[in-house]
Amino acid sequence: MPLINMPVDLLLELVNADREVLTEAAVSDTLHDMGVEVEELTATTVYVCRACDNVIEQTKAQGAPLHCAKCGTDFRERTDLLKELGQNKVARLDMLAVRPDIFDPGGMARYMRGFLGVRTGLIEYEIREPKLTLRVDPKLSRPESYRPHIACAVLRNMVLDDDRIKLLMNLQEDLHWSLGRDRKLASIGVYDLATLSDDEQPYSFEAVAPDGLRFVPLGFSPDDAGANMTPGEILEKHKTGQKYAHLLAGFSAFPLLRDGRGAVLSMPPIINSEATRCTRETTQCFVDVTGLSNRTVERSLNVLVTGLMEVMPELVVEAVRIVGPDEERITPDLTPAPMTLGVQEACDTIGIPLEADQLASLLERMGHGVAKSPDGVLQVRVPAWRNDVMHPVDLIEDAAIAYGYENLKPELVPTFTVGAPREIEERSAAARRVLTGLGFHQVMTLPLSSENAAFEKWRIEPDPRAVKIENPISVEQTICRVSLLPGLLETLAINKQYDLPQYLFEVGDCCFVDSDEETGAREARQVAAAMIGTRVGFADIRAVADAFVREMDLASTIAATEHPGFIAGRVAKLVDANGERLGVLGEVHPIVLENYGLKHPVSVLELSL
Amino acid sequence: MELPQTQFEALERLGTLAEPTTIPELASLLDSDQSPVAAACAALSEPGYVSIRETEYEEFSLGKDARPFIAAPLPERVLIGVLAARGGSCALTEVPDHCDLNAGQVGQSLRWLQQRGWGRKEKDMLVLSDAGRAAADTTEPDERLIQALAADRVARADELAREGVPVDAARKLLAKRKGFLKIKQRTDRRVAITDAGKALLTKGVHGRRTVTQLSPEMLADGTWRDVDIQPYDVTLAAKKLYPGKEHPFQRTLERVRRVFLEMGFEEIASPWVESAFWDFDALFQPQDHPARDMQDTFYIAKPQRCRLPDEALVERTRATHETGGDTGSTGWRYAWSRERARKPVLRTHTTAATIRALARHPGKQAGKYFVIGPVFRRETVDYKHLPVFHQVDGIIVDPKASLSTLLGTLGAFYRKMGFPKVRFRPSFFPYTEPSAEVLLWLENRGEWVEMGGSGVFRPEVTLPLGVTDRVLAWGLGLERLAMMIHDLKSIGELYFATMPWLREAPLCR
Repeated sequence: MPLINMPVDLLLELVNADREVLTEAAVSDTLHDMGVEVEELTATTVYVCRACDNVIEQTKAQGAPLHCAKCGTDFRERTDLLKELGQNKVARLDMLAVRPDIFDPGGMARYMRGFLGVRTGLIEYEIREPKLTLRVDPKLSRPESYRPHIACAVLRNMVLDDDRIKLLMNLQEDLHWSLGRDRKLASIGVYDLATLSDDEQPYSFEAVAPDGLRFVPLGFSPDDAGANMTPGEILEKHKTGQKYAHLLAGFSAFPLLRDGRGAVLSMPPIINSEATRCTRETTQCFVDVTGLSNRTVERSLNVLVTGLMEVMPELVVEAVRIVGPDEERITPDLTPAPMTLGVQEACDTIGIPLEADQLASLLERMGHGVAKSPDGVLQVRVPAWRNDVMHPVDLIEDAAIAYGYENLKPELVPTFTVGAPREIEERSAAARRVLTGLGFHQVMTLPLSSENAAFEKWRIEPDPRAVKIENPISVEQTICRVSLLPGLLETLAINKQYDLPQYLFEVGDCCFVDSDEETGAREARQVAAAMIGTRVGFADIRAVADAFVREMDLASTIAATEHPGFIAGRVAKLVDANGERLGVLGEVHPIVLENYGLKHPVSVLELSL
Repeated sequence: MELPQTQFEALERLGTLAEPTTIPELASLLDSDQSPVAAACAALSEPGYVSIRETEYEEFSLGKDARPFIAAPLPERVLIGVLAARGGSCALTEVPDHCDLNAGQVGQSLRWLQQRGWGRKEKDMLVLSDAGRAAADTTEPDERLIQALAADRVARADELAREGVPVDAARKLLAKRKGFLKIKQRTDRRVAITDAGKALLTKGVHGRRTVTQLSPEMLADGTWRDVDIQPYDVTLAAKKLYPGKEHPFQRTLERVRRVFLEMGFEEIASPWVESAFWDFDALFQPQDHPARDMQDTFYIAKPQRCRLPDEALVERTRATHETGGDTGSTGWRYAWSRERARKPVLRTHTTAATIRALARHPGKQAGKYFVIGPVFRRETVDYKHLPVFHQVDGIIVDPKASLSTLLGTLGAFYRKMGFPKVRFRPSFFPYTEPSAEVLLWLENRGEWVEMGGSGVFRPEVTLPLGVTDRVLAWGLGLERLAMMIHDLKSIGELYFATMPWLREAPLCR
C-alpha cells in the first residue's frame, strides 16, 4: 500500500487556525483514533527538478532521488538540475484508498477539525457561477473512443509556491492511483488558464483520429524537431504515451480536450500539452477530470477543489458548464447526498445507547450535515467529497469512530452456542498422534506443486485430475498438489546433511478436478510418511502402515502392485473392503532418489484418510 | 571391617609387597584396569591405610625433526668432513658439490657449526677450526642423546644419566633446535601400605563387591545385599532423545482451533478452488476491484468454470452490485457479469468459507462459525511472503451482535491465545462496516502489532444471503502469529523445515 507524506507543520497550522486544539505530540494518537495508520513520523528532504519543476520529497532512508519520475532526467548525470528546497516534518500514513478526501493536508485538516470538535457539520464551499462552457462529443460514448465522463472547474486568484505546487501534484497523483486506478477510471489535468481562451466560446472534449491534430506534449519544447506530434505519435514516441498507451488500446479515435479557440489542453488520460503547463507564476487554472465512471470523475474533482480551498483561503473556484449529448450540468457539484439513518439501528450496531442528539453531534463531528426527524430518524447530508458512503451503515461507522472505539464497552454475545469440530480434523489429529507416537516428525509443505515435481520426478504420467493454475507466478507452482510424497522427498532433500535416520510425515489436503462439484474440484485429506536411513526398507514402512491402519481402525488389505516410482517387487497397495485403492507403500526407486539428489534408501507410505 | 572389593584387594596385595609400587604395576598384579585401582588407592590413603609418594621427573623422547639424524650425521658434522677433506677450507658456494647438503641446508647449518666453534665463515670461504679438526673423531653429547633415544624410546632423565648419557649438556645443545627433543613433566606415584594398613589387615578385613548394574539375578537370589552399586556422576550429559512431534505451526493452528471450539464455534471448511462468486462477488467486491486482478489472484485454467448457486441468490447479488438492490445501498453502479462470477480462482481468503456458511445458515437463529485453512495469493516469494498462507476466519450471527460484542469477542479470543493486551483501531475493509483493526501488545518487542481485520458484515453482504441479523466477522493470517511464537525470521522456515528445528523446537511453546 502506498504511503502518503502528510506535512505535519502545515497540518497543525490548518487544524489550529481558529484555536489551539492539537499539539504535535498528539498527532499520532489522534490519527489512530480517526482510523488512520501512522507508519512513522519522520523528516523528509524536498527537492525540485529544474528541468520540469517537479517537486520530489524523499525520506532519509530513500536518500536523494536518482532521476525525476516526471521528466526522466538522470540526476547522477545532471547534478545541476536537482535543487534541494529544504526539510519537511511528515507523518507517513498508509493511504486509505476509500478516503481520498483525506489524502491532502487540506482534507485531513477538515476531518481533524471536525473530529476534534472545532468546526463540525457539513462545510459549505462557495462555488462561483460558471463563465466557461465545455461541449462533450457524443463519439466519446462509443466503444471505439470510450471516455464519456468529464467534470471541470476553474481556479482563480491562486498564489502558487513550491510547497503548493508539490501539494497539488501529490494530490493529483494520489487521486490517479486510488480513485483513478492509475488513470484508468479517472485522470486529472491542471492547466494555466492564462494560456487559454477565457471567453464565451465553448471548450470541447472530443474524439479525434490518431493522425489528426498535432500538438506539443508536455516535456517537449515547441522548438524541438518533431515536437509537434499527432495523438498516435505520442503513444508511440513519448515516454508517458508509451506508459499509458494500453488505456487507449484498440481505439480508433482518441479523447482530446481543446479550448474555445481550438488550442489543445491535453489528450486524456495520457498527457497535457506543453503550452498549458502551470508554473510558479500561474494565478488561474483550468482543471478537468475525465474518466469511465461519472461518480469517480465528479468525486475526484470535488476532493481536489475542496482540498485546495482548505489550504488556500484566497482561492476562488468557479464552476464550468458541461454540455453533454443528453444533458447539461454544472461542475463541481458539491450538492450533498441525502441519507436517512435510524437512531435505534445505529445504537444496536455500535452496541451503545445514544439519544438522537448525541448521534447527530457524532455525525456532525465527522463532517455530515444532520437534521432530526420526529420519528427516531436522522436526515443526513453526506459531503460530496466522500467516496465511501454507500449505505447508512457507513454513517454508523462514522458515528462509532467519533464516539471512540476505546470508549466502547467490550462484551460477549449472550446467545449460547455449542462448539462442533469437523470430523475430518479430528481424524487428522488422531493420524498425527499415531505417527508422532511412532517417532515421526510432522512437516507442512506448500500445497502448490508442478507437473515436474508431481509426475516427471516420479516417472508417472500426468494425472488428468490435477487442477491447473492459469497465471502461475513461478514454474514450481503450476498445479494444486495431488500427492503429499513430492513435498516429503523435497523436505528430505533439504535435510541431507543431518543425522539419519529421519522419519517424516504430513497430513494434508490434495486437490482434484471433479465435475460433480459446484466449483469443479474437491480436496481429499491424505496422510504420507517417509523414512530415510542406511538400512531403511520395505519391512519398516510396512510395519508403519500396519500400525497406522490398525490404530485408525481402517478396514484395509494389502496387495502387490506396480508403480514406476518404486522398486519393482517392493511396492504394495492398500485396498479397502470395496476394492477401492486407499494408498501405496514401498521402497522408492533409485532413479526417483537421484531426481531428488538423495543418497540413502527411502521408503514411503501414502494413503487417503 | 568391610571395604569395597577393589580397595580390599589393593590393600591386601600392597601388604605382600616389600617396596612401594606404581599404579600400573599394582593394576597389573590385580589384573584390573588402572583407573579403579587409582581410585581405590586414593580412597585408602584418606584414612591413612596406604601412603602415596609423588616424585616429579622428566621424560625424554625424540621429536620428528631429530629422527633423520639417528642414521645420518648432523649437517655441521657433514661440513667438517667436507672441510677436512678439502684441506681445511672450501668456498661456501662449492660446499654442496662435495656433500648431500643443498645450498639452503648448508646456509642453515653454519649456525650450528659456529656455535660449536668447529669453523667460521671468512668472506666467501668456510674455514675449519682446530676444535673442528679435533671433533672429527668425537661423539658430541647431543649426538649421544639422539642415539640413546633411537627406536622411539621414551626414557627418564635419571635413567639416561645412569647409562652415561650427558643429559644436561645434550639438552643445552638441542635447546635451540626446534622439534628435536620432547620433554614431558611426569609424576611418579608410588603406593605403599602404612602401619595402619598393616594393622587393619592383621585385625581382619574383608571386601565387598561393587557392581555397575543391578541384575535380575541379584534380585532373584538376593545377592544385591552383598554388593555396592557403583555411584554415578549424575551431572554428566546423557544422549539426546527427541520424541516424534507435530509441526510447530500445526500446534499453533490447533491452539487457535481449540480456542474457537471452547468458545462455542462450529468448524467449517470450503474448497480451495472457489468461484469468483463466493470469493469476491458475495462479499460485495466490485468486479473491477484491483484485488481481483490477475496480478494478485490465481485464476484456474482447469477446471474452466464453476457453477453459480441458486438463481435467486445470484440475482440478488447482481442487483446489490449494480444498484444496491433491496439492501438500502447505492450499489457500485456498473454492469455485473455472471461470466466473471463463474471464473474459478484459488480462494484468496477463508472468508469464502464463512460466507458460504452464512448462505447455509438458517434464518433467525444465532450461530458461530470458524474456518482454518490455506489461502492463495499471487505473491513473489520473500522472507514475509509465500503464494500460500493460512488464515482463520470467524463469524457470529446474532440478533445482539454489535461493534461492542465484536471487540469483546476478539478480546476474549486473543486473551485465550496468550495476548492479554488487545486494542482496536477504526479501519477499512471492503465488506465490513464498521471495521476494526486488531492490535496486540507484544511484551517481548515492546510494541503494538497489527494482527488482522474485523468488522460487522455490510448489509450488501448479508441481506442477499437472506441473513437479517448482524454478522460479526474477523480474519487473521496465522503464519505471522506462528513466526512470533516460534521467533522465526522467515516464513519459509515453516514450509521448508530443517530436522534440527523440528527436533529441537519445544512442544510447549
